[in-house]
Amino acid sequence: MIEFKSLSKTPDATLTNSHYYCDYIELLALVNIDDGIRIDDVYDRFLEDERIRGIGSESGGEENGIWISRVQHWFDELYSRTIHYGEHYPFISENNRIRLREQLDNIHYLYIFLLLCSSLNYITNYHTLTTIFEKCSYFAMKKYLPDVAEVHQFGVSTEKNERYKGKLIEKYKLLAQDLKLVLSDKPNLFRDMDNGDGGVDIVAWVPFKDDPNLDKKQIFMGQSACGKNWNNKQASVDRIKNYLIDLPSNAQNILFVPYDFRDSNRCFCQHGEITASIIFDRHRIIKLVNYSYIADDEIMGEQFEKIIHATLNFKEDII
Amino acid sequence: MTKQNIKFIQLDNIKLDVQNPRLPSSMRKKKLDKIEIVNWMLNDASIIELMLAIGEAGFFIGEALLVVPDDEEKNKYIVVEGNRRLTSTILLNEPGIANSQKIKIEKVLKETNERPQELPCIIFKTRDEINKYLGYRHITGVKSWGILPKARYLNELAQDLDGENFTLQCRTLAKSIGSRSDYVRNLLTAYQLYLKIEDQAFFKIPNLDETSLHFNYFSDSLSRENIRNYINVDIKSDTPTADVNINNLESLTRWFFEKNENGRSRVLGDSTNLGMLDKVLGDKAAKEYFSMGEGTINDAYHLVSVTADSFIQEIEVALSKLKNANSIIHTVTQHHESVKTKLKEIFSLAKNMKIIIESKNEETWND
Repeated sequence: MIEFKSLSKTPDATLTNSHYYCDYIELLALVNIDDGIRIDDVYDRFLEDERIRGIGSESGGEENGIWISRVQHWFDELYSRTIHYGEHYPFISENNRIRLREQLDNIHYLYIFLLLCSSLNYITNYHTLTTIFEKCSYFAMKKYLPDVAEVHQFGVSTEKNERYKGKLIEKYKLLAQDLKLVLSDKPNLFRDMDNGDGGVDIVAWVPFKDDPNLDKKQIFMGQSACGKNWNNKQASVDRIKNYLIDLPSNAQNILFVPYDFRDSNRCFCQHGEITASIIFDRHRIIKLVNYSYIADDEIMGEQFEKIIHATLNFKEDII
Repeated sequence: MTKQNIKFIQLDNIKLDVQNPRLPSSMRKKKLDKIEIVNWMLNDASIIELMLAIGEAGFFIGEALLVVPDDEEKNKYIVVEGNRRLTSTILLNEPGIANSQKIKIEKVLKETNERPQELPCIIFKTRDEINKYLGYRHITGVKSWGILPKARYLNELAQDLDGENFTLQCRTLAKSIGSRSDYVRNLLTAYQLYLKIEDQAFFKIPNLDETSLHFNYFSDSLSRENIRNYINVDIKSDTPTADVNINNLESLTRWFFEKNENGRSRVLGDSTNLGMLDKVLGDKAAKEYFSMGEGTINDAYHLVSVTADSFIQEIEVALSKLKNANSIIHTVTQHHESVKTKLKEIFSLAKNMKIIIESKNEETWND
């Protein structure tokens, strides 16, 4: 089961990517024992972590001001999340303070889960989180596409993959057959004992009903990425072209991230780094996936509930 | 400096300071009781950690409170420096007066034993004797105040230098707090703007008051030339806010703090948004567009930052909206009459734009 590490280490993300810092504040509010987190509490964490270094020098006042403004902007951004997520948001943000709602319902659990997935640095034994997130990505994709679409998990973390099993070559053979594409026969491409996923967690396509032609259709290849190295995981489609040599160039490259990839105006931030054709971030996933999809899942449901239960029972020690 | 002795004073005889710069002006103007101040401090100044420290180790003599005699009550003293420590000690002894953070306070009480009843104090005759030290400690030093309390405090200190011109006041204050004079000038000027806003009852903007107004939006704005010009602040002058344009100050305040139905203001005071606003206010057409309309600062900024990329983005947005409309056209049973006129307008616009683009691309002039 997951456990929290010390939250005294503040995030080291680039300051312009403020959503990482907002997540940190939400995490503090999640494990807070009492009335939530204020600007001062967050400022103190950064001071104690020696991130605010000029205090006591001639420019100390100015640096202090810059940091207070910075923290305050994070709170502004959190307020915009309150409005944008509406009833799905498990926190209350008011008067420069953010706290967990007193009454939490199913509708809030998915947000909490995605917040945990975005905070792997602060969690041990997070393997279960990434596994469930992959399933969550599957549900998001399935809900996004029309009912006739074929959506499957392809990733190695899937504990009970119904369709794509075994060695990498076996999986790709079947996928090539499903998509009516040609499998590469280059040497050393598929190695013995390679049970990986070749860079794909989710595969999907939209078939034409009752049509024996399996090609010339929409294809989607997705990667779930909880870690901060999400931008390196976006090239799924490029990598798959090594295996499926005639993969059409219009195959869509999908990225699933648990992060709230938005700024205060709720526009995508880090736009320049996003190369995926379609991105599913926290907001999009929450609007697509219902809590019950995961909770009722035969394999993941129990673990998901355990994680939520353990999280809500954990409170940071104030001493 | 005269030699001072540390004296132990009963907790009941030490009063929290109603003039503490941390407290908002609205509170400082009222007759406050201990409970009100304690609860304000509890919500604003990281008190729990201090309670833990004092509850665990007692009150450290080296952190003696700096107090002055209370003119209104004999044998009572007012803490000029050490209000957080006094608040923490009061709460250790009277936890019941807390309106919030009750779970944490209870935990602190359970885990600690020290409940100081008398505190080490150094008694000064007047506040002035403590003020210089206060300035260093809270503006430049370890436990800093927020920006507005700093500015308020500097403004109070500046009153004592009333005979001197503004530049000299800034230099003197900067020296006394160990900071730079341009920093002091910026804070004092922003504070003068703040006082004007307060004087206008925060322009009656819903939910705007001292606690929700982010003072740094104004102090940061002062480093932007076009924003300064817009509100007519001459930062280098001896009277920087003498001729402030109140109407424009109101607009600026509304852009910063008036929320639309989605809970968003038109300009967020971070450096990106302030940079955009500065460029917009430096351009006549963009300024007019932004001032007269209700769009975001991004829209206005596009007017001054048009590139091939931003232009195509506008076209793509329009195209996407048209595609949306096209996809639902069959689901509308009865269309408005005006639709056809508007579609014709879109057609004409598209045709004209195409002609303009093509004519721009022509290499030679055709007579």
